[in-house]
Amino acid sequence: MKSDSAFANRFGAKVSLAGSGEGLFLVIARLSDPAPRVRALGGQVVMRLNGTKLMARMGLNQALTLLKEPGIDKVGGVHLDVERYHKFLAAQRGGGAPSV
Amino acid sequence: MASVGHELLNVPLPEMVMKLGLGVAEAQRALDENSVETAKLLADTTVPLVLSITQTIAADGTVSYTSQDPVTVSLLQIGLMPTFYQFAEATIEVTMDIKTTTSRETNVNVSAKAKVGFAMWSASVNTDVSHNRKFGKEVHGTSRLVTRMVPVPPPARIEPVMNTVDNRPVPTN
Repeated sequence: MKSDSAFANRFGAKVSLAGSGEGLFLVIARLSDPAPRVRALGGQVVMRLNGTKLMARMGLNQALTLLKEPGIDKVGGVHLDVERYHKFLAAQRGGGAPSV
Repeated sequence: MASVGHELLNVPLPEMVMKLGLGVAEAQRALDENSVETAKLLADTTVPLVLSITQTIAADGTVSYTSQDPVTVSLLQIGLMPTFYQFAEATIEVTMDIKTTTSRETNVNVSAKAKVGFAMWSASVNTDVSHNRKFGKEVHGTSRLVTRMVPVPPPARIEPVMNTVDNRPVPTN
């Protein structure tokens, strides 16, 4: 991905970002549903949290592009800690009180 | 005349390294702040989680489903963690293309004067030779800064340890 910021252009610099595949991102919009914007960039909505929050799967370049769009408040990279998830499920199902 | 080696020594490498280091540190701080902010949002965002659904097949073959009461949990509790990044490598490459030219210019001015008078004569010849040596230098330089970031595990104590005390009655089948 090539980024052409005003700062870089002023100095004749070329800034390039090489991503490494897709990742999971927490996307928060200010007012409206961010899902259409995520899909328009080629992302996939994994989980809707409420009207303005969702989890999406997309590349870093798409996430950075989404972050610049008006109305988008936050795009933060997240990942699922599977071990923690299983501990949580075990605690809930078993009725015990293990540390999670 | 400046040598190529001298030109290379003139490259402000220590300053470039210092600024790269400061830039990396500033970027690292911004990345960490972003990850911590994401952690807060994950902790503040709750979802109702249905942990089990019971399927009951009656004697007449009808199927019914009853779901367990949902448990409200935060995204952080169920294992969604912010991704932390760390700068693993930073490289500075400086490429210089130096071209030097030397030219020598020689000017010779010759003037002669002669006078003839009453029983006398005189003559003079003036020669003025000047050498002018010109140096030309062209320096083209490019620099390239490369940084590599890698995701790293979040800090171990990013969230408090959660202990669950479940006082729900044991379901009877």
